[in-house]
Amino acid sequence: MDLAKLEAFFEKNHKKLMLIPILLLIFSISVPVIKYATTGEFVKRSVELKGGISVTLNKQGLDYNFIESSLKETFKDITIRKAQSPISNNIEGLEIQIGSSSLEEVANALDKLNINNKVLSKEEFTIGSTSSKFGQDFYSNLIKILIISFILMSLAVFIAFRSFFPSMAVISSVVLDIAFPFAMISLLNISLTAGGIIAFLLVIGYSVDTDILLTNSLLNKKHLPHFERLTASMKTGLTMTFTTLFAVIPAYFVSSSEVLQQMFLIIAFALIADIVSTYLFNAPLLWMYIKRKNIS
Amino acid sequence: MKLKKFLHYRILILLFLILLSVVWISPGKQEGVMIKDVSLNSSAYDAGITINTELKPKQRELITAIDSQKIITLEDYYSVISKYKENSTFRIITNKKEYPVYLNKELGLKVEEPPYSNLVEGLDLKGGTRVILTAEEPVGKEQFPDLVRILEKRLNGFGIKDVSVRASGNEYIIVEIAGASETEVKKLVEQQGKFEAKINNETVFIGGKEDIVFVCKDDGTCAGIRDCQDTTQGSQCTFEFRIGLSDKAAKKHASVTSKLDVNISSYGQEYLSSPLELYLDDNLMDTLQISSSLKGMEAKDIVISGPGTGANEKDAIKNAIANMNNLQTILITGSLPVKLNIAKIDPISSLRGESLVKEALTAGFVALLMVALVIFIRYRKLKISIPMVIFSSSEFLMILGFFALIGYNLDLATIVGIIASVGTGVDDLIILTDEALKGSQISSLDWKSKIKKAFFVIMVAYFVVVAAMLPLIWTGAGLLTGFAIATIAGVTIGVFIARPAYAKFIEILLHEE
Repeated sequence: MDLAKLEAFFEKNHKKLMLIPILLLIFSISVPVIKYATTGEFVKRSVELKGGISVTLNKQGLDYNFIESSLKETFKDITIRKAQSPISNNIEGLEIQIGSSSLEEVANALDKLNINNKVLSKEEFTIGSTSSKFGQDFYSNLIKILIISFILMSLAVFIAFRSFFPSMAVISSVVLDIAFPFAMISLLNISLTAGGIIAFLLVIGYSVDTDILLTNSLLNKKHLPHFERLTASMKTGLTMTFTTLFAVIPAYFVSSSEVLQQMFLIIAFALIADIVSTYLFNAPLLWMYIKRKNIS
Repeated sequence: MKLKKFLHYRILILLFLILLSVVWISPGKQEGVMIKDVSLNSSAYDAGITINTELKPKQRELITAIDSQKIITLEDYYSVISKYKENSTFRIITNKKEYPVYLNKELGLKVEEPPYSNLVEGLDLKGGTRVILTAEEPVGKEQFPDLVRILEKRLNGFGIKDVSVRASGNEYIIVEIAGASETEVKKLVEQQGKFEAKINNETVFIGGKEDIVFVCKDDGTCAGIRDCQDTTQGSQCTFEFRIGLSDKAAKKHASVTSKLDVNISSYGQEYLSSPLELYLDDNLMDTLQISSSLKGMEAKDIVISGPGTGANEKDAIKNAIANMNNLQTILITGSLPVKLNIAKIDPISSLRGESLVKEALTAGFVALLMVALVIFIRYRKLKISIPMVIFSSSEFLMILGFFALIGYNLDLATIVGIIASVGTGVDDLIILTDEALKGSQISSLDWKSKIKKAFFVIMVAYFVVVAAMLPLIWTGAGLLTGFAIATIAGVTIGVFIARPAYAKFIEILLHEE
């Protein structure tokens, strides 16, 4: 398809294209809402964000299946994860999270399985606890940080463009970039960790650059015809997004830790959402804006 | 291609900073063992061995020989030192000085392997326990810093050197103790603490309002630095402040001191034969001489004094004031004003920490390779993709250099932050490359304005990232501050140093053709 045909297609269909991000946003909002209706929380949280006991075993060659089945019998609210990268057969250890129980109860149960600091060194076996109040406080503190961060990001965008409509277009596309990975975490039943929330913070900070590039190109590159401004910035923007995407996906596959994997996953989903939100939402919106305002 | 063309000041600044970063990090093996800790009142302490924790890791004192035996590894040290029996004398030779040691009591030296670089390992890498404490009853905003300070003093009093205590907001205190296990830490922090003043092993008064009715604080007429003197190691200053004792405590003082003799010091001052000893949780914190004029007196007004030392008078005064504040706080509250509860306790395995950091670095490296590949596919020129990878990696090196310079702890969160900021660097380099490729066909005047426009996008993106990270520093979540600091430092170094240099580089490179 040559450029002229593409332009004609875009001119005719740009409003319809916006349906895709809108549907994606509806999906992204409904998933956690449905989850809330059924389980009482929008997303599963790790014990560091809600309180509980966390145990790590950093030793290869233990009978992990036996440990897993015995612990599952004793504790109800338990998540056991093998520390293992998706491409490796080696289990580095176990990450165990138990929601409602005391440190002593868990330590006793593990003692019966011969997991204690008499057999294993303090490097190989650790057991920690988080009070539910601290977990809650930490969680709400991080959510507060996310909200303030979003507001500051919006302010920075407004100051940069000094124009209401284009700024709002940039900011609203960030909403989808956050909502979609959140929905995926909720859908895949992954326990959200503090590291995951940090990944959302990264999304707020970093997902706007393609939008800024697009806005700047459409509004300021006076020497180019309109559609070329769009395609030129798209070429650069997509290179940026795909480089990061192709960097993050293999990074996900080489890491075994829950936190790192989760961070890479959130960033990958955010990048996918960013392609949709930037070029199927922000771009048509700006297109209508420059046509209506007769911006040369 | 002439290299000379590339000697633009932006590129030179980058090269200079890369070089400086290597110097700041200064990687390399060292021979000897590092002095980690010296116990109070030990043979090593008497010999004058001290540790200065403010020095950069690579400037710390290393033991290189004992008498004529060379010390290269930890094994050397242990095998040599175990040969010396009680009451023997020997010389400890360090890379800075020589100390004659008389082993009339415990040696009191703790040593470890010398650091490989100036990068400071955080708890994730060293291993230890992180515990977050909260007061059982609500503590006022004014009292909270006191609570943090007393806790720090107490933990230091237990002989734990590698401890960090910091407030997280006005409710939580984060304590990190390297090398300690969860049970040890639990025992330590759950005690409320007690203060006792003893003379001749008899308790005269204890901390708190019952015995101590008044403590002079923040009042220059009855508290302050009284006198400073130059010593062989720098300067020493003396602080003094007055306290008032209750009738009961004053009577006790009279009865205890009446039994003591009077000694005359070498300077001709008359002191009682037993000093006043201040104990915190049964650990001796301070020893004060008692003037002979107080013998048998029901002293209600007591002047407490103590020293502060430093490399110069300014440091000595600063330390003396810090010591005075600590002592005043302990005397006023007697102990921790409230009981502390554990809100969160996490033993951190250095094994796990190290493997996590390795994983993060591997992931970062794999990501960089993939970036190089995608860039090559897009531009089809090694000439462009290789410099991009080199400029990106230079950011990584400079951030590490910066952290080595300021002595910031490297933790998992910090390393992930660094990788994230280098990641954005690549995005900026792509913007610059695209502008440069388009610009190579037009005149150089237009070129300048194009790059300027590209930098508008880069700067807006930069301010957005900084704005997004700031709340993490402000709200004092404490645990994740390192991530925000690493990201902000990283993008700042990138946006102001590496990326402008790359812009110039690519301009010169493409104009060559």
